[in-house]
Amino acid sequence: MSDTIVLAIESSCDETAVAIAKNDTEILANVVATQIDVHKDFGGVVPEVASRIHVENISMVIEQALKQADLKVSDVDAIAVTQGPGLIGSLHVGVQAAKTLAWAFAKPLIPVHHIAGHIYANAIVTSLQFPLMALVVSGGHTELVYMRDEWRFEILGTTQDDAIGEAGDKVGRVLKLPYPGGVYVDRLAKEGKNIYQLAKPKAQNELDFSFSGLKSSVLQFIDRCARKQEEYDPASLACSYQECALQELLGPTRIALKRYQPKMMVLAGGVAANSRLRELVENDLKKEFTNIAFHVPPLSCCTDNAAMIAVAGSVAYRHGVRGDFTLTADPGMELCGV
Amino acid sequence: MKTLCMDSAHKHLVIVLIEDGKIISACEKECWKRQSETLFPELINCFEEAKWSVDDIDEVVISDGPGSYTGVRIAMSIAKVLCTTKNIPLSCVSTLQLYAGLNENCYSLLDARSKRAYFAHYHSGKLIGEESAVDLADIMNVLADHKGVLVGDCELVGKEKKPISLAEHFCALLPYARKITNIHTLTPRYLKENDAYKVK
Ligand SMILES: [Zn+2]
Repeated sequence: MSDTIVLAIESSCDETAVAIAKNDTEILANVVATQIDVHKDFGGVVPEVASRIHVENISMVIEQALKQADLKVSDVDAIAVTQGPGLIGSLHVGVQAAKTLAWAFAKPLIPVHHIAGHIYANAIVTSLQFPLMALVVSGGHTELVYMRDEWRFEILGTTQDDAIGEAGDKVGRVLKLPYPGGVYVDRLAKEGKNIYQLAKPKAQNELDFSFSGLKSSVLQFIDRCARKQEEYDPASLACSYQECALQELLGPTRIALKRYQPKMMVLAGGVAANSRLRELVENDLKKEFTNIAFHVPPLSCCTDNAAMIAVAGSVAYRHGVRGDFTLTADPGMELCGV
Repeated sequence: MKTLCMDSAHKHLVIVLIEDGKIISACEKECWKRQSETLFPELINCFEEAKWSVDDIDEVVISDGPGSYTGVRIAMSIAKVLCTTKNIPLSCVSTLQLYAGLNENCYSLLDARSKRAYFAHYHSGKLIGEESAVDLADIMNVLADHKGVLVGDCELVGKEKKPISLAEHFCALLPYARKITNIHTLTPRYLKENDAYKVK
């Protein structure tokens, strides 16, 4: 059997990324042009700014990826692209670029869901075992995804309000930490203790999540201290917030693991880089569920990149997923039915 | 010499295939905010009608704005990727220039929302002065003092729309298109610079 090579483009948020994968998981090229320094100046991702940088970078990033893999577009078997979810203006640039390559070089076009990419990022470093449970946590997502089999996705639970990464960034902002706040909350939390009582989040469905109540509770705590002119320890507030948020994450995860008894459980998404979350999985979940193989991805696999889209795109390609030339960015794309 | 022209910067989608100065196939339709899904199917139709293949293209010409921020990025993303991977020269015309065509003493006006318009004075394909985003009231003052042809979103200043063919304008403007020396660094001309940087 000959090799299958997939080139993938990811532009759903603030990274213009292109990667090339061989036979699903061998990454021949992985180029990311990050915009983080620009967005730092604004304290967050400004969609129009992100779109502008994508169009500026896109052709260069494609060229660099091809150079890194020492390939020409004609050597590639298929073009995969993140169709959604994400920022519409940002997604447009990647989707048009992918359609251009598919048209100009007569290659199949493979639309990929961003979350499928995050889950399949794990396949780069371990072989996935099904049924599989994935906890997808990022600035835009908090989802429990159950995969009965390869390329079958079922969303068991999701956040009813903020994504966990979003809540962490906001808490970071009120603690006057740099952008992205969640990363710095995690760092600061290490120097503090879990001593402050914050409102416990409560989602209606036992497999769903909620973070906005907890986030408001942190804001109210700070306001109250200011009103009463009381001092508080920011590190301990960060720690108290983070413990509360992570327990909210692990509650539904435990229920789902008991109910579905998967062979493997993976973390995915940017917040999978959170050191305390990784610790809780390693120290607690692993011991509680000895029949399940837990996989915590290396940091390089957590953040947005195109290698994950290339891997997911390769699997989708094998499963016959194809997009036609009317394909357009879908900012609210659903994972089910992929 | 085979030229592919594309414009998705404003309300229209324009695709023109030109061979030695003659239009071989064209698509020109109102397509507000639907350029992203419509462009490729129309492009493929045009290529079938003209019996061209991608490798026949000798040059690409696009409008690089001003216009809808998302719209202008559609054709530009395509052109940047197509031209760099296929080694095809790329040239640009301004969207205002495209609407003006080779008209003499022509004022070109495109809706920029918030009671403003992208506005420029073109004479036989050449820019007089500069392109800018101007308040509609100021444009009305300019038009009251100056005689000339008005093209684009004329209704914004209470004038009647003059029918024009953007496909024919592309064809006529080929000698005036600006050749892009470094395609990778090409970016749209947005004109209303400050708007993008307003943090919500
Ligand atoms: Zn992501």
